[in-house]
Amino acid sequence: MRKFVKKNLRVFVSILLIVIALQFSVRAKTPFTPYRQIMWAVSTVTFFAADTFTKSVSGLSRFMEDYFFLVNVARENKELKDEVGKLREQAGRVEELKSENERLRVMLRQKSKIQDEGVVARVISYDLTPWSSGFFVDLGKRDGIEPGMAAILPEGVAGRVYRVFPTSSLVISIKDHRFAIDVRIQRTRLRCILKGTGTGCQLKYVRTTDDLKEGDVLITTGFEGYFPTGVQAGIVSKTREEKGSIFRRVDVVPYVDLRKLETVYIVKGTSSPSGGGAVR
Amino acid sequence: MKKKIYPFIVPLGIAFFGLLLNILACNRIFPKYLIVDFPLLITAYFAFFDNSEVSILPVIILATFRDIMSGGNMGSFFFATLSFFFFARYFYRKLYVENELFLLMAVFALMTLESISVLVINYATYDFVPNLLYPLTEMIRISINSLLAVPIFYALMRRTGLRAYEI
Repeated sequence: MRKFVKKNLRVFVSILLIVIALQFSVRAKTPFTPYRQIMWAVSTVTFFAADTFTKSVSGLSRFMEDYFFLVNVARENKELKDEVGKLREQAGRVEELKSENERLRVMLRQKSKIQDEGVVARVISYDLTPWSSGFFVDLGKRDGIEPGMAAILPEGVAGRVYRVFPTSSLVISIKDHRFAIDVRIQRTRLRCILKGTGTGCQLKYVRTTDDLKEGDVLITTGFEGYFPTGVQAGIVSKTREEKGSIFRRVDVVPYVDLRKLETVYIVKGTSSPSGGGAVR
Repeated sequence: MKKKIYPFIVPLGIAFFGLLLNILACNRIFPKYLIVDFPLLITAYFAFFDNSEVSILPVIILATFRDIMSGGNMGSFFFATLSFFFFARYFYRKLYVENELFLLMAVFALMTLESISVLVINYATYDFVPNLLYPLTEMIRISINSLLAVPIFYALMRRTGLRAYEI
């Protein structure tokens, strides 16, 4: 027996390591502090090098693009100026509506709930493994980022902070299989769970009798404590009944195009109905 | 001193710059299945060609790289990479045949094993069901990695002076 163990020691060590890896993969947090500190140090160096490298290559390619496409700059400049004018006009109208809204809230003796604090983070890299869908941003623990915080864009929900390093964070996207949020169908006010599938999103626990149709817009409820209320999450693209199931299979297309991500807004504290900030 | 450090620094450098290239490729929306997992290939290289016990040290660094750049929970890919290293070393010693085809098949088998393990974990933990294209993309990814492994291993072997085990 002893001889057998000694002969196959590497296999036993491998199996032990797999068991440890499994334990870590199903646990959300690890109490193993020394390893975390080593990883933080390595991550700081890696992301600094990656950022410098990416910036250098991007700078070089931008210079080439600028050089070759200089001809179109004057025309584009004029178009952009026109657009800025229109947007300023629209912003003025939005401000007017906002102040009117505030006045109405005071009249209704409701406290204003527009208290969501946050920071804008730049996307520096994407998750390199094929088994998950996420991206890294340039803000981390030092900037007050915590696991669980919501990442949103003007278009809608982008993801949720999953791991935090000193100067960077990993955000799992809305399509990741670990992502799930509480949402409401805007038309019918029906509450359900939006879950990532790895390649898209699905609505869970929608009964066959529930009123739902293709094109319905989903908004966040904020009940889970991470996301502000009323942020658009996606649109129902396909719905079908499955044999022998009381629930419907509902496919959802997120509003945010993850291929075009450059910056995201990380919500640090939300005034969601659950009353909590971003907690895990 | 230089001779002692060289066999570790060169592969680690390749893994690190490969990682930077991967980050750049991903930012340019390169499909994930065309990305070469340099830290894993270099881990396999240490398992196959470095007989010394010290080779665990660069492998720890490589495992940390993989753990940082993966979307998994903290520590999961670190231990998975170490496990990959010990498995690779064990089976290579048992089945060693000195040719390129064997190297290619060994890397292919180990990466397939890792891919299936992660899939099973994701299914068991998060109810993750892959789409129909998933096996195809994984096959492409593993094939590209295995095909690149052979020239990388031989180039490193020539450069660092490390030889495969003698049975």
